Amino acid sequence: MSGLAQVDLRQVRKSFDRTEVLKGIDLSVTHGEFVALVGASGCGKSTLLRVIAGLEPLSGGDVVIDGRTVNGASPSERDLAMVFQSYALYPHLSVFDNIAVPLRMRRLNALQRAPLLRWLMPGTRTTEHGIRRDVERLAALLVITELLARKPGQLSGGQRQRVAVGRAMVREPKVFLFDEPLSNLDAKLRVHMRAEIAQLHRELRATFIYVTHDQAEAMTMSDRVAVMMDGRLLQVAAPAEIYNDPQDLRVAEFIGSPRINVVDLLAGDDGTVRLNGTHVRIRAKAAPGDRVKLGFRPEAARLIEPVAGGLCGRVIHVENLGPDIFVHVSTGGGAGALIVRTAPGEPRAHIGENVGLDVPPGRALIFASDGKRLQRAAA
Amino acid sequence: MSEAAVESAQMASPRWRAALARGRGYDRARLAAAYALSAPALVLMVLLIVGPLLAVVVIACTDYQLGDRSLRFVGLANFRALASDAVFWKALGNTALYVLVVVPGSVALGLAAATLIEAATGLKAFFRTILFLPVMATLVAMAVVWEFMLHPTFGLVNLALGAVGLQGRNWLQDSDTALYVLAVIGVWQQFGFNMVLFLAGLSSIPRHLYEAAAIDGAGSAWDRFCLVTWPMLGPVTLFVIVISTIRAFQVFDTVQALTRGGPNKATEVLLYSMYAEAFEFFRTGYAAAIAVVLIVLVTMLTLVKAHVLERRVHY
Repeated sequence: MSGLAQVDLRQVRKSFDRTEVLKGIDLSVTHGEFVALVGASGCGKSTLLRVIAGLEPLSGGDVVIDGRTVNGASPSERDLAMVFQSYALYPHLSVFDNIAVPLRMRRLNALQRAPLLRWLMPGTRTTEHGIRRDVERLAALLVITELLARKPGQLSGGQRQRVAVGRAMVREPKVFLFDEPLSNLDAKLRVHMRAEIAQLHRELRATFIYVTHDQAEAMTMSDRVAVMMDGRLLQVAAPAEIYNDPQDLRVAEFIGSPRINVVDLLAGDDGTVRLNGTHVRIRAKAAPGDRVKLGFRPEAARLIEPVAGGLCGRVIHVENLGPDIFVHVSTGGGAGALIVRTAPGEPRAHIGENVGLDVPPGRALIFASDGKRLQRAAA
Repeated sequence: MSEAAVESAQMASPRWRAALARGRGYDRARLAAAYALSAPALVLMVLLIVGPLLAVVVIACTDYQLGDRSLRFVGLANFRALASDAVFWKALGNTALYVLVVVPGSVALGLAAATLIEAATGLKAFFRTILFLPVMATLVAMAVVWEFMLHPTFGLVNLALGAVGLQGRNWLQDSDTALYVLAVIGVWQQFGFNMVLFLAGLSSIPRHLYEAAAIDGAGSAWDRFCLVTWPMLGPVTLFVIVISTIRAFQVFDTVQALTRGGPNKATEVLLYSMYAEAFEFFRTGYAAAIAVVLIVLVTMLTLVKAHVLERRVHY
């Protein structure tokens, strides 16, 4: 099938009046790749998707699909499909007709689509026959055959979602765009549909660009995650890399739940950061006495006996989630509590207890005061 | 569902009735409160709508003449007289013809104006106001302007026709054209109102549908209109058609101001007949019978609308 296309964005800019929403986006999505655009609301991710779709004209840069610059092309000329957050099903049309719309628009001419008159035009019946066959085959695939005669108003959220996906799939486009397609579903259904869309991507092997504000969706479904903030891409990498090796403090803080712990530290006289007796040497140009930030994931730290000069504090709250126990440790001084994950087998922490935190140097992430990641040198 | 409907559904529910049967003081008090609260509206409705309506129906069955001290019930005699009255049938036919021109004309023009204004980039408010002016203007005053425009010798219409070499007519005095001229004025007066209703309908169409249509390949404005705009305007269109029809049935002011039913009954319409019978010939009972016919026609339309609206236009 034709479901393979490369999408390249080159210095894409978009302004509404004087507000710059996209500030120069560079991104290449290769054939058959699933890229999730993730970021807080208002970061420009939906605008970026709409620019790719051709629903918003761009203010600068190029959108290139399969080597063809499509800046001025209309959405239908770009051969892509989009699933909207609201599903945007035509409420007056049955499920069958909804899915058939893209086929009718392409396979029938204007006269063959005209009401009543269409049946007088030569070829309408034959083409309609083919359309019926294709829609029914797809409906069987999506297990919505028994819904074909219904109107969207008679469907549940999950069913509408499936119909919207069907309408996108039916003409086998090269690129699929998803704009927060699961955010109107309840939590349980969302997890289910997440798996279904990932499965769909494996079967179609088409290029997927998926916008979400939900980091769990981005991390679980995609080949690569693109973290957006304030109109810029902060980092584009595989989910594991985004999580374990964030290049920016904002990426580290956005991805991961509970969020990453951040501690302010001063770089020592020799430009190293001292932590619990170990030295984590910073290779980058941290001048002696620079303020840096130490970040570590809740599961990276271990609770130990308090060590003088080390990271320590008092347990103020314990969350038992079953497989994980999150221990909140207040270090005082007005800073937020640090969170450490322990497993049920490990010794229990008690509220009010004084504990120390051990962070292995290999799992500590160090960021400059502007948020840029500083690479660690071998100790 | 309206609150009133919710209330009545509750009242009809078996639980409510069982509670009433038990006759607990609390429920009785609630019921009393419900009646007390709806009483002012009920009284006003009876006084201002149901009462006059009944009065018209009663008068239609009498031989009452304006100013008489007595009246006599004549049963359906007035209606029998109507059935054999050539002027009444002429008026009914003229009214129907008028409706058949004004309704499609004002609905189509209103829809066209609304879609054009919606698509415009600037001056939206300006066009909206200009096109709505005829609705707000007093029709009798505007009729004077139309009379000047349509004057056979110095009217703007005939002068304009003359300038391009066409022969003008005596529009309002010609029995071939008078009713159509009134219909055109009716369209002019009504389409602005329809336009505003269509504009409201257009603004409630979700933008996502147009975007989905663009992605699905509906490239031209016509395709988008057929796929999204027109079907989504279905409920509004039905409403606009019914309102326009009812208003067209009630045509009176232009007839009274411009032609007085003439020439040769060419513009005699139902409401004008009724007015003439009641206030020129003082045959109030007979006029009331015409009013009843008009009320029945309009009520039938409203019922059709309610029926279709309930059944079809549920998204």
